[in-house]
Amino acid sequence: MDKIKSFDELKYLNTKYKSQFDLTASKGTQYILAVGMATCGIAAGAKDVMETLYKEILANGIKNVTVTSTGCLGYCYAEPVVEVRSSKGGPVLYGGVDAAKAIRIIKEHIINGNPLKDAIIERSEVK
Amino acid sequence: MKNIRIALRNCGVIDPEKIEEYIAHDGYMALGKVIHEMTPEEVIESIQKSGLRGRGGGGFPTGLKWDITRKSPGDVKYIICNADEGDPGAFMDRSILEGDPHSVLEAMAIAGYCIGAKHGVIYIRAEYPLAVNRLKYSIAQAEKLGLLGHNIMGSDFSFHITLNLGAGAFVCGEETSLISSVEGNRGEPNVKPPFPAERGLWDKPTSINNVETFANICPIILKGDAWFASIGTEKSKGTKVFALAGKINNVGLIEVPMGTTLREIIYEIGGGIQGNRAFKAAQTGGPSGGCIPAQFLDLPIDYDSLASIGSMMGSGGMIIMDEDNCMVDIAKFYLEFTVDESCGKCTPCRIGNKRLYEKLVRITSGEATLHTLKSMKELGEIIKDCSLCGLGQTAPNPVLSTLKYFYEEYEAHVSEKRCPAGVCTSLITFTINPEKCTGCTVCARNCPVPCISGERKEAHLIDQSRCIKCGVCFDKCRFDAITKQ
Repeated sequence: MDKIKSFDELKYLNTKYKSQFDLTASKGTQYILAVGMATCGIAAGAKDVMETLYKEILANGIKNVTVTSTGCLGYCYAEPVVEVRSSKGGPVLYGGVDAAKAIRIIKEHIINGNPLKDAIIERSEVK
Repeated sequence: MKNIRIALRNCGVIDPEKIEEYIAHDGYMALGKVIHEMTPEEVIESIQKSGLRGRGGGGFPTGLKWDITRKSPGDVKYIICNADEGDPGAFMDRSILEGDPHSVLEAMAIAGYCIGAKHGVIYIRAEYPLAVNRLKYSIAQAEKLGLLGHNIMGSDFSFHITLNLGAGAFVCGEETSLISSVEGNRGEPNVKPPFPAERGLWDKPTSINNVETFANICPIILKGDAWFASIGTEKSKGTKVFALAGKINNVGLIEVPMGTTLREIIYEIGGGIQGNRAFKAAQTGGPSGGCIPAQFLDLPIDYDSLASIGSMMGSGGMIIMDEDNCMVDIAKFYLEFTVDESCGKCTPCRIGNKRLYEKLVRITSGEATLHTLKSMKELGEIIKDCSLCGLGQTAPNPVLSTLKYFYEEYEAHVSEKRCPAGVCTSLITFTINPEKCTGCTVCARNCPVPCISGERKEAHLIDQSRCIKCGVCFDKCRFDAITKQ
């Protein structure tokens, strides 16, 4: 990527990336699985969770999911956490995710569209 | 009551290693606006109007600090980001640097533009490897895109950021010690004035701001100072990030408006005390802060209210304690930390805190008298008055605040040789109630000494002369037959 040479160029990129990361603009149902990968999450096993997610996505040939890492969501008591963002409906936050739950997230939530009721943690922030 | 995320706005939202996502979330737009549409004076005025105060603990108005540094004579000036987070149990800065490193870099560049600095230094502890790596990566990314470095976004403003790794000394969070450490000297404080804003790094005017302070800058520029000033209390604006820890159900990182009460934080966001036990105290401000008793649960928390009750905002560690915590033991724990971390340059801190700590040890081992309590208060105030830097000036706070609010607990230790919470091992004894004991032998089998005797199906007995008071029998007994007093 080249250097940004003016404020207007930055404004242009801002708009461009906004639509690029905007799930609602995509065709069909798209998912982003965001894994909390700060030191605390990694210490609690977030790397294993991420690997399992990738493996399951490959094994099931799923095309409409992106896995991404993100910072601390603040729910230390429930690490590792995975947030499922979807082009339809609000995000769902799962806590205490291990390899087994990661497999269930793919099978039940992504493939069958049924969120895992027993693993959802309540969010405590307003936007 | 809910969290409001300003400093943590992107943490857990964006991928910290993708600058594109940061740009999509209005990243570097504040820097662009500042460089191309505002004069440094206008930016400083806006920050002053917003009422933002330093989030590292002192609470000095950020805009004023920038203004003084800008007006200090000199061609070369520096911006330092203080990421030497050292309070036990606090991790706000680490979370911001790991989750949203660009927000701090961008704000440092804005600060550089305001005060006329071309160089910024992030002083971060080496024990935060992930934060260090993400910062290095982010600086390289931003430089590649021309958002940091020479001629930012085609303007004539240049700003470079370098990292300086600290070895983890608590005193280096104090600004003059931090500067000594960056210069390659021992981390020891100097007499103020001159303040770093007049003579700081390499004797040049330097503005030192905390990570969380920087994380608040860009939203103020983009959303306006009036928006920021509308959140919080009269003298403390915006939000504060707290690292909630201790005997609380939802341990975690929270960001609440200034003026939120402890009750709202503990019971609404924190989910209450573990095991539904009674709240005893909240410790804020780490080793420099004090313990807040239950009578202040409804006090709106801001810089000034906390200071008025003998605690302080500090960087944002908040440790919740229940009735099982012994306040004398807590004071001892924090003082042990500061005694360890005292740099030794000034006598009140080096020797005074050591003597204060010894008095606490005498209390918890049952050797103190009521006179000890009186002399502790006296000594604590002398240390506060006479120490050179913030470390010593605040070190006695945990002792003084617990003495003030939990005096009867100190008295019990001294006069009755009893620890009401059952924590101080020298003052407690474990005994077996023969009427409740079923003779199941679990305690005897688990005792590490072993000092519990008794036949199967008969009441057991603890040999007090050999008991090490580890509490294993107490935890293992299923019949509630062991008492701790």
